[in-house]
Amino acid sequence: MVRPFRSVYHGCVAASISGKAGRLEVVKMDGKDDVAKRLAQEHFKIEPGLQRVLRLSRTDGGDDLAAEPIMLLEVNADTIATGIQPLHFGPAPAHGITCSSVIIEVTPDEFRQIQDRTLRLPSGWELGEELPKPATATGAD
Amino acid sequence: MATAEEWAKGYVRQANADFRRFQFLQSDGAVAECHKLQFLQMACEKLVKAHLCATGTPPEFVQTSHAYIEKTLPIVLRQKLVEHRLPAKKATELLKFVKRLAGEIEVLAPSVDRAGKRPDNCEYPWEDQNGKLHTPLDWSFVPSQLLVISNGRTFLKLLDAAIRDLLGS
Repeated sequence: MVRPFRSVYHGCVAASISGKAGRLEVVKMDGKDDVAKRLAQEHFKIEPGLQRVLRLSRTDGGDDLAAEPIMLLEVNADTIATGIQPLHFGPAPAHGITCSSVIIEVTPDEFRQIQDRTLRLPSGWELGEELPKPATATGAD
Repeated sequence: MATAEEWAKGYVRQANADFRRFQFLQSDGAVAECHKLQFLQMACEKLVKAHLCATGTPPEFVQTSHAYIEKTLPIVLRQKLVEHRLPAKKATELLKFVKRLAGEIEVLAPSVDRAGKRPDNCEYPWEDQNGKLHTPLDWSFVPSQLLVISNGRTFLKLLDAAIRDLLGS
């Protein structure tokens, strides 16, 4: 009997061997870009003060690796200014979040400071693409 | 030298122990609210510090302050709201509640007093603007009132899930 098991990478692709069918089954999960967009959209939906969400990338290009977390910078008018405080979240495959992530939340004023480099991102990180704000953001189903 | 991952694990294990103690004390009517809430405040603080340490934030940086809960706990619990795909309207309402409660939990630490405007805390007596002395044992804390309503119970479930998930990851 083939014993079923499931192996989930901390990246964005999962593979499993089905015990029932006894065959290797590669399950394509959402890619990092898809998960990043989904996270941003979900955050826009429930955060009235969220103005912008930007990807952060590594200056050495290492964020292309599947094991690297998605890094998001969120500009929120409803937060307090405390500088750069990156928060790490593991993947939650059961809920469709297949990648780990790092989120930094800043105020609009702090964001301006990041742009003019008076407030520094962690070493080796830089601002990347901006993720779109859904047309119907905040509080509507 | 301990790794960032080890520091994060250490903080979340302690957060878990603090939160289980809070839950245990909640069922004991003879225990003062200030003592129950002190464990809740400590659990919240250590949970957010675990998330900070996991990114490589130096431990000595997070050890210098108790004032992390108001800003970072809502971000941590928002992740749980996203995972559970609550309707946006309900999630927005809950997140607003979480932010209010997180601010109230943060001021339970004696070192966080909002420039003297919130001297109420779980540990030490304080004097109000009229010179009247208050003790935590007799004080009616805002979080105690918020935790018993529906959103407060949901807050505790989200907090529990956040600690368990990080502990198991």
